[in-house]
Amino acid sequence: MMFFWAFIVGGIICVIGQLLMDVVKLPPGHTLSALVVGGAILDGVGLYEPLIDFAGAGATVPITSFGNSLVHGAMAEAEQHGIIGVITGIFEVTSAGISAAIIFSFLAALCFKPKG
Amino acid sequence: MSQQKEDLKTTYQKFASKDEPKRPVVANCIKAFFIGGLICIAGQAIQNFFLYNFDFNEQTAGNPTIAVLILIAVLLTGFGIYDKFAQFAGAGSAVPVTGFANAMASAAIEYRTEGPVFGIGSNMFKLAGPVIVFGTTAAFVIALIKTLWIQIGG
Amino acid sequence: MQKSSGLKVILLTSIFLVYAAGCQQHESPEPTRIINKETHEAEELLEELEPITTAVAITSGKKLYAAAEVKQMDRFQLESVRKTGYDRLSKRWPDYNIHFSTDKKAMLELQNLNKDMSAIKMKKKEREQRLTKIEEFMKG
Repeated sequence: MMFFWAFIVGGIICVIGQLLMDVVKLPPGHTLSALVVGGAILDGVGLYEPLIDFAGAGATVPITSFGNSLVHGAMAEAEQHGIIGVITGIFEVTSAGISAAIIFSFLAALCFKPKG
Repeated sequence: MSQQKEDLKTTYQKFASKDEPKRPVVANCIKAFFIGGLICIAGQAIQNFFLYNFDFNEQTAGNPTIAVLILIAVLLTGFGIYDKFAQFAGAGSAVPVTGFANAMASAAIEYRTEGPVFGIGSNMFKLAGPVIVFGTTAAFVIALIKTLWIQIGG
Repeated sequence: MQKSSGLKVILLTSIFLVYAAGCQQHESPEPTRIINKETHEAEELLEELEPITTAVAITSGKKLYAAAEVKQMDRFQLESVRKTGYDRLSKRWPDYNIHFSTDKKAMLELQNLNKDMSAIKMKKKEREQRLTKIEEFMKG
């Protein structure tokens, strides 16, 4: 069941991205940035976590979940250490994603040759 | 005289817009929907794998899942497969975290001839840079507002 | 021409995948073995709730560990289901240390513990060890 909703919700988020690119005519960088900020806002109002509960990977795989994780990290740290936590906690949850992307991309650049 | 200029401008614009590549929005959306959905299904399968076979719960299983998806995306980028796939899928391949990884990896690979520091290191963040900058700033503002709100609300 | 056949392949693959994924869910849950009167009562109390389909509970002294599976459509309100379940259990056993979670991993581990405990006479130490581990999974 979860697979079905992961498919639907993930697909919908991608369609939103596609509409931003085709109709609003945003370049990819703008589109992705807008989606990340959107994810952050949704978590701010408490709507993204229920979406993750409902759609699983449909909500954690799109780039919007990155925005959600950033806010989550900041809020979790702020709850524990007060207002300074807003700065110290931001990258705590997203560490896996960013580190993986940087490390693997760099290794790939060492191993692969550019095409054409 | 200026009326002539206006007419010329509108005529030119109509002429130029005819040659603009028309974007088949509906077809693009359908492709994006299916590919994006499929990538998420793959993500869900990977997440379940980590949940059932390792010491991860629902909250923490997302981390290795995203790392694995990024690894797969980087490998596909290296072999040149991701780009062909991205041309077809549009946002369906760009919006999931795999698209983010593809952007970083393809930039890193493309600029490797310029050396590790100026080539790979500085070009990797061409697309990722704005995403991280705006994401972080937005998260800071939102978390700040929310924390102050909670503290004031008591 | 090529583009439309590509589209058809995608369509067929996704329909197949979604169908296959749907089929995966048909592992009928084994009925939870009854460990003692309290765990049975806890499970019943939880399963009475609309959104909950099945629940497992294990007690150890004055500690109660419970996990529940929630219906897909009710998962939007997972937070409130957690609270309702917790409140229900706390009301029934006000002096107990209640741990209630909707996490799938917690559920899996508690079900395993339930199965093992009903099969053999488990030493208290092992039970406590496993429950501590399960408590970790319940966090977050």
